[in-house]
Amino acid sequence: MSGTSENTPKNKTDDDPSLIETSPLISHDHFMNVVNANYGRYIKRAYGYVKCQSLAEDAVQDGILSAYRKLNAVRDINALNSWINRIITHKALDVLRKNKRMPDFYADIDDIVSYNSAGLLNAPLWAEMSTPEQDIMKKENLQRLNKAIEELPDIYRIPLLMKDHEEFSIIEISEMLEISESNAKVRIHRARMKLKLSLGKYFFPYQNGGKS
Amino acid sequence: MISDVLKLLRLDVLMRPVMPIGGWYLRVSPRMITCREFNDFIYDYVEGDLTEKQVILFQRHMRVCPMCRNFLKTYIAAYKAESHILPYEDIDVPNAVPQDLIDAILDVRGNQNK
Repeated sequence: MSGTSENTPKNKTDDDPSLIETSPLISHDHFMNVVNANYGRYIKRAYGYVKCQSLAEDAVQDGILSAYRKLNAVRDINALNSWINRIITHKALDVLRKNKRMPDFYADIDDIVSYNSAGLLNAPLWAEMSTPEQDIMKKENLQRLNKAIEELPDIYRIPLLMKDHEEFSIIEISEMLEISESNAKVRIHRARMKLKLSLGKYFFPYQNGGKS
Repeated sequence: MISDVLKLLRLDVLMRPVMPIGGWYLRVSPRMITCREFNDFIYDYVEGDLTEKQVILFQRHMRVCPMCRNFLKTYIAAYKAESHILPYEDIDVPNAVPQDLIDAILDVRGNQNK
């Protein structure tokens, strides 16, 4: 018997006075420094979701403001930046919803890889990689990579960015996008396959011409 | 004929050119997954979410199927490259926090300090 039934106050709302009066871990100045240093990066991240600069700026400003309001919720001073990033992601998704641009995650998934009736890979030979890994990180290849990500359809790009760039967990992604976990996984997997295919002709030049 | 039997046993991957190391060991191994199943496993394999048993099945397929082996290799290369960059490095964005936003933040601060 633990007997002590503590009344934990339910102060989850933004403007609850009891939250604001506790002394904040993060000072105003520190917050402003972090925001100043990362503002451009925030916009780029938001742009990844909404694909429109003015909408991205809206989402970022909205996100920074609401992060500032909830500043007392931050428990780790080093986590401030990634915490702001997450709030901005939430806002960017809100912007998509508001503008009715949230993609339909239950639309059919196009087949990228084809199989025969027995479930074996039908594609021509996937040749060995011809580009050493360190070459992939060279500038011109990074530009190609950027372009390939930008050209991914929304239904693949959004979960991919959330998983591989913001490091949301699958559970968080499925909650934020209101889809099932397996659906989220499939989307991310497809996104990576699509990237691989569109990068293929630069990185792995023989992969589609193995037979010729 | 033989191919039908292999198909039934889900072992028709063995009709592909096989790595020399495959051979006997793989022919007698009790279970073999198809390329389609292999592909379904890739995500969890890369994330490290497969059980030990599943990893064994996964790697067994990889050993006999050169196509899937190369598929996985290029998948991982693309994944690694993609997850280490910040996209949109080349778009032009304002780097300074706009004055409106600073004012709005100061507003919030003023209200909080009241």
